[in-house]
Amino acid sequence: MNHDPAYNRLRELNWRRKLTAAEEAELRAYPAANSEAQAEWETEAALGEVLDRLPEAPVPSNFTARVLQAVERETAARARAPRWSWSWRVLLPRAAVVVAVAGLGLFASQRYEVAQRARLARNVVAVLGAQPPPNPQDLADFEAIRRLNKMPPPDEELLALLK
Amino acid sequence: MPADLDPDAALMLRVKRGDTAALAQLVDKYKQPVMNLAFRTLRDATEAEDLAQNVFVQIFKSAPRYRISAKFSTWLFTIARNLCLNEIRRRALHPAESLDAPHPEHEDQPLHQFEDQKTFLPHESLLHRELERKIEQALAELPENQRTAILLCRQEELSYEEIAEVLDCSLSATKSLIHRGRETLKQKLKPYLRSGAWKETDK
Repeated sequence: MNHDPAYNRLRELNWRRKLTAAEEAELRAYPAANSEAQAEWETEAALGEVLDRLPEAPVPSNFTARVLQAVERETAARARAPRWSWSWRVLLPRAAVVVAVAGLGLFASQRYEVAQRARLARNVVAVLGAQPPPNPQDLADFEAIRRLNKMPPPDEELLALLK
Repeated sequence: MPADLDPDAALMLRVKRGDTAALAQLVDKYKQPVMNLAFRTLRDATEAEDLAQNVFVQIFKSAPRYRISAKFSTWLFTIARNLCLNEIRRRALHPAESLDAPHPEHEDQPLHQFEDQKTFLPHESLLHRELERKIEQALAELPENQRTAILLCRQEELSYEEIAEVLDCSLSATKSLIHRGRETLKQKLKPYLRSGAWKETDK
């Protein structure tokens, strides 16, 4: 394969279109010195011409009219379509999204409450650890101590006479 | 509107405003190359026609998204190629029934009867028909990207850079695809190409 840049440029031109007479003359200068390159170029050129001669695919005479009809149907369908569709095909996916979002929200909320309760429990434990609970025996005299607060105030006049 | 605006872009601006006459002009200009690409990809004239029409319907539907900076032909052939690829994938997922399956009511006839695609060239020699059949077969056997690259290469509206854009690969990769595809074709068609038989008939 010829790696000459100028040869490759002309070869790539030939891929796209038939070369002009000047380009063909320029190109033939390369294979002239090398019979293998000559054969390679002839095959390359032949393939280009063969591809050029491929018949066009058949296009019906009413092709453009049929495209415009399809476009008209498309435009009419779009005009008829309601802005909000009650079709289950439209609603079902949207409902699924709403349910998924609501579910995630609920889950997140529950996780938050659980975390809050756990933190509260840890705080209570911490407080109880710093100040131990009262001895139950002490609490047994609690009623008597509580009633002490309800005793009548001291007689100030009597106390003054006793001094 | 700028004076040097590409004519196709000017027509597309009108299509964006709903001008179907402008769309008709674009269809008339590009229906042949789009059909060529579709036909040589799908190998069925009816399906190629449906797909090619759908390409232009998609152009109309996508017109609001068209930007002047994008060359129309590049955009068009990108849509055409993508629709062809979708159809190839659909066929791979849902294989067609056998072409040789008998008709349920007429067992001596095949289920599918296809028009001889060569009949639109009634005066070609037998040798030329054979060569043409070989070329079409060799093209059909190429990988899709090589075949598309070679076919788009013959569209003078598209530069190599634009072909690369349609194929969604680099410029060097595009040229490599074309080179490899052509080398494969040359190998398969060498006896015919060197015989010069194809020169005997005029196009």
